[in-house]
Amino acid sequence: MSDSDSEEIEYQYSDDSDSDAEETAAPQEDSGDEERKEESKDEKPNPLKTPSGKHTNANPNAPPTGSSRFSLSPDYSSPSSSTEDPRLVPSSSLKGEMLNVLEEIIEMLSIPEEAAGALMRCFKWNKEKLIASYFDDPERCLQKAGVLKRVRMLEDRQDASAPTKTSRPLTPSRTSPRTATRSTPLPPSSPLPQTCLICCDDDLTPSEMYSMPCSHSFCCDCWSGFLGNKIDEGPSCVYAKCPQAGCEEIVSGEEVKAMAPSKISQWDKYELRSFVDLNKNTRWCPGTDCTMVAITKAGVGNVKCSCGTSFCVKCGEEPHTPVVCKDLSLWLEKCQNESETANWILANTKKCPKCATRIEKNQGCNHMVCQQCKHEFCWICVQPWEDHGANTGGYYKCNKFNDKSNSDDQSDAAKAQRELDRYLHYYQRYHAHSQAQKFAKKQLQQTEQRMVQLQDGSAHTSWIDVQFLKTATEQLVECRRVLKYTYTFAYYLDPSDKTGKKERFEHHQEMLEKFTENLSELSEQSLDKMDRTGVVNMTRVVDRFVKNLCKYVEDGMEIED
Amino acid sequence: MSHQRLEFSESFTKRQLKEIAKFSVPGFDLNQSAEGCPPGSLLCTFKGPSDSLYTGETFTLRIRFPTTHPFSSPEVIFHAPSHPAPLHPHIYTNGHICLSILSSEWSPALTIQSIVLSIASLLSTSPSKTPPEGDEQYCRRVKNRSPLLTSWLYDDDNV
Repeated sequence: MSDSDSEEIEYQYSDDSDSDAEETAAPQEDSGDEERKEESKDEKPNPLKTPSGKHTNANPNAPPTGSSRFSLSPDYSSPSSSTEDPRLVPSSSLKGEMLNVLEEIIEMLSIPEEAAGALMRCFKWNKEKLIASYFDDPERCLQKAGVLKRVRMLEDRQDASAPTKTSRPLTPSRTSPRTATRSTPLPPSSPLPQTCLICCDDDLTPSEMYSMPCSHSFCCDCWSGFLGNKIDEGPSCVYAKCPQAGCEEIVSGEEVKAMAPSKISQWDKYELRSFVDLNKNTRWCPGTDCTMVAITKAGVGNVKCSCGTSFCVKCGEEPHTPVVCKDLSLWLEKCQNESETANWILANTKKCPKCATRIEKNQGCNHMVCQQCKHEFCWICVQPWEDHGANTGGYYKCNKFNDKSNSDDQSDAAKAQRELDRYLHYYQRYHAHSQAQKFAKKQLQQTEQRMVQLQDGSAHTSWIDVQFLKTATEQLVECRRVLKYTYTFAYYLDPSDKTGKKERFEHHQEMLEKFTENLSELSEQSLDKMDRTGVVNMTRVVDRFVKNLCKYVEDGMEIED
Repeated sequence: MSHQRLEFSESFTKRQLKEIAKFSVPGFDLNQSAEGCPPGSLLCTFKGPSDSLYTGETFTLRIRFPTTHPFSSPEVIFHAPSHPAPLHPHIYTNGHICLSILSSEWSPALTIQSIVLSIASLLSTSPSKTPPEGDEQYCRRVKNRSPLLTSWLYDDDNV
């Protein structure tokens, strides 16, 4: 098992170092290691399906490289295409990704691969930081990463071999002749028995000894035991140092390969794990049991994994535009801390304001119709629905927080009360849309069934014709998600801002609420009343609106000309 | 440092036997067979270094080897049944010693001899006979657990 793993990684290693284009690496891997990803559904069968599937006509005149790339992942939802940033790669192609990064460092600093890896780890895979620090003081930088001897030895070796052209194993001529042998036995010039400082065996031949570039030699058995033990201790093994007390030289895959070959696959795994964990530009997909990794150049962005999980690459939470990661984490913490207060105030059911029947909201729309008395009201403010009409100055007057309380009262208690009210205002709406998002997701699961029914309902309807329902429901989930976070965003907007930013944002938010409720209502319509054109148009309008809203926030919410 | 399972060997390995045979530090007495100690332990008795706060006192260290030794460090504590632990800012009253080479800085090339010498030097450079901060809480918390299971933080390079 572990052996085959290691072989696989080796294979990719060589495969990847050949291809210099970063983007093409991922799809190549996909086809390369089918046996590994039996379970990760989509990818494997696709290349087989393509010729007969709907994609045959998609790229008849596309260049061969392009067509093969796209045909590999036709069922991916668009954001995971490998040319995008962020992009997703299976963990099996991580080694290639890592080597791509390392290659640049190796070339720029002309250092061995092992040293480049340790250096990058030391600088948390921040290339710019490493390079700046290296050119500032190379000696200190190499020392800090524990690769000084490793790099110097390579330099010495190059210096020595360049003029004389002697064969390599003879070059190291430091304190003891067997130092840098790399398990290449030396000519038996010194038959003196060697002592291993670990096992204290004192009748060892030079060929039974091994050392890292720092020249501290120990017997091969002890090396194997030492490395095996470090790797068994867990992920921290990538920081293991030479067994000599006080020596700062760091252990690399080279030593593991030579002295503990049965552990190399485990070592490689820990090395890759550290690559992803330390690197600010990579993140494991947070989906359960998912092993995909998101890689980004910009350090930010949202991604949808093939396992269905969408996440923000920077913080790992659900995509949360327009809120920034920092505010989201503050918000989530606040909601956690205040959840009891909020829960106490927010019951999951509300009474109909007219007949007092308990109503549980189990659909997404906020336009409620009491089944008992047919009274129509808004779920959020429990006011009559008529009040939300255009005749009263706007459909959704529910998004604005009006500081009604007497703001002249400056006592601490009054301030705290106002702050709690302010928080609850936003939390209530955040929570309502969060629930609605869940409903919409549930609705999405039932959509396929509804699509089948809709298609069966009419003789001339094809499967393509009913796709609009799925698209609409997906859009609805997206709207609820964005709306949810607009309340987090609004909570952190400066309430004393006088430039009108807040008002403008709330206006857009209100529009989005309106569109979303419309879409929700339209798509939840019973099938016999389904208005296809209406739904399609609404979906398109809402999609564009959401994108513009996010863009508007991203651009700093200045007034458009 | 993670020790998934901590087991101590009940007999000595070839290396340990060699170390014991070679051990020679004037004033330090290394003993294999000790009453009331688990099998596989060593006791090392020594006098407080001259010109130190501990001159005239006698101390005993108990040394035990985990099965992973020499790749992980031996357990070394002051053995209270023989002599009480010295009062020292880095030595807890339950005998646990805060010394980097006994955990994170352990190297398989270190020996019993290098450990006891480090401990002796710890005593000679002691600035005061005071127990470490939080001694009482620590001792209450760890009870009879091995110090190898404690994660140590080193914040004082002076002593």
